[in-house]
Amino acid sequence: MELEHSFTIPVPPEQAWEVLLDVERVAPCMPGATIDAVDGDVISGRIKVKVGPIALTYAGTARFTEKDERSRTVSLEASGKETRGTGTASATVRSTLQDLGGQTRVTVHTTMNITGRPAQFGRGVMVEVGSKIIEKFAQLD
Amino acid sequence: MIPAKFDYARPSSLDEAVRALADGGEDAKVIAGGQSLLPLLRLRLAFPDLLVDIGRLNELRGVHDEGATLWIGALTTHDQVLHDPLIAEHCGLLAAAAATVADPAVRHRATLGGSLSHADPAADLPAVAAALDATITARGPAGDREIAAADFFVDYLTTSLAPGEILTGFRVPKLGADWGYHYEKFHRTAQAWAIVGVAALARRSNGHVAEARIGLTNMGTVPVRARAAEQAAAGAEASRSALRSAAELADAESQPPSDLHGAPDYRRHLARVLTGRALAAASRV
Repeated sequence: MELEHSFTIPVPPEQAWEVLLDVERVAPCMPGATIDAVDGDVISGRIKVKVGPIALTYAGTARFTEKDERSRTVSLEASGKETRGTGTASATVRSTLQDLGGQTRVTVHTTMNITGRPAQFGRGVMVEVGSKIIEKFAQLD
Repeated sequence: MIPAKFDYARPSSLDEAVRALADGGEDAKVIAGGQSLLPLLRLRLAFPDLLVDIGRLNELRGVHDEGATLWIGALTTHDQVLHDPLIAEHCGLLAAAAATVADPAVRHRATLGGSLSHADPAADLPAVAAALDATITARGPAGDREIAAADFFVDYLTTSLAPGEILTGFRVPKLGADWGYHYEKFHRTAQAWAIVGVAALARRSNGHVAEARIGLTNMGTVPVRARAAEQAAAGAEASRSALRSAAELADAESQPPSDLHGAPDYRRHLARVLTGRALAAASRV
């Protein structure tokens, strides 16, 4: 399943690049995310996704596979297992920063694979939930 | 599967239930008939720390005639809705839609309040609440509150109920005898969820439709009012062809989901066709 999101942040790309790559600094902005450890390019942590009465927590690792400052592209591979179920989730997230003259447009392309019970939600809900998470992540306050 | 562990409280008054829920924090859930929540628990998709069982709160049962409105308690089951004479007389659409929900065993357990507060976009009664211009009544730590159906459903499985608030009932304006209604549901097997559902109300006058209201099931993350089609139907001749052309606008406000049961375009097509049928039936043509 492929998802596409984008958001704009009011700082130039050079500054955005620094901040977005500082995992421990941006993780608290990600709704439901907790970082357990950062070891070089490998991050281990958990993410809790809530949709009404449904609450899913995935624990796993994420790894930077590409950090190209010239094209301002960063790729991250993540995989995790449900902490209280048998499902798994894996994703490749490729983000590109675009200069909008003092502002930065961030385009996030996600290729995601979900197994187990949560997979039955279908794509519509995944896009909705993904958009909400990214929207909150990009909020200034 | 066996649900994960949870605490269980069965209060004997509404205020006690509100307190128990508020004290339980964000992972406390209300349980009534359990027809939506229990499957989630058994599939291990929901892990509440506390379930507050409101099944003993008899004050939340039954249908009350308030003059211009009916108040239907949250614990009223689908089966009771189906057989209630006041509902049949003043808002028959609700009974017509409740009759299409699942099977008799489920309808004997499932409650009106549960169906509304679960806010599944594929469930039938939320779209009916939208079409009926109903208000939802709720009680929380801060007291009683009324929420218009249009403001109640905010997202997929998400309502505007605050943490600690319990849905107490459903208030619906009585409709006169000149209003017709129909719930048109499209599903592949008898007990399945609606792929698309259409709740239609129409007031007839002199061979024309004077006023129409249309609520759509499963055409977005929340129930959708098809306002453009409503406006096109108002004043139209009460004929199949005129109502069918009004129904061409049925999907104008929708953002239908894509899942195993159908792509958005397919759902849009269904919404237009089913709205034409539902409007015709509601207008008695």
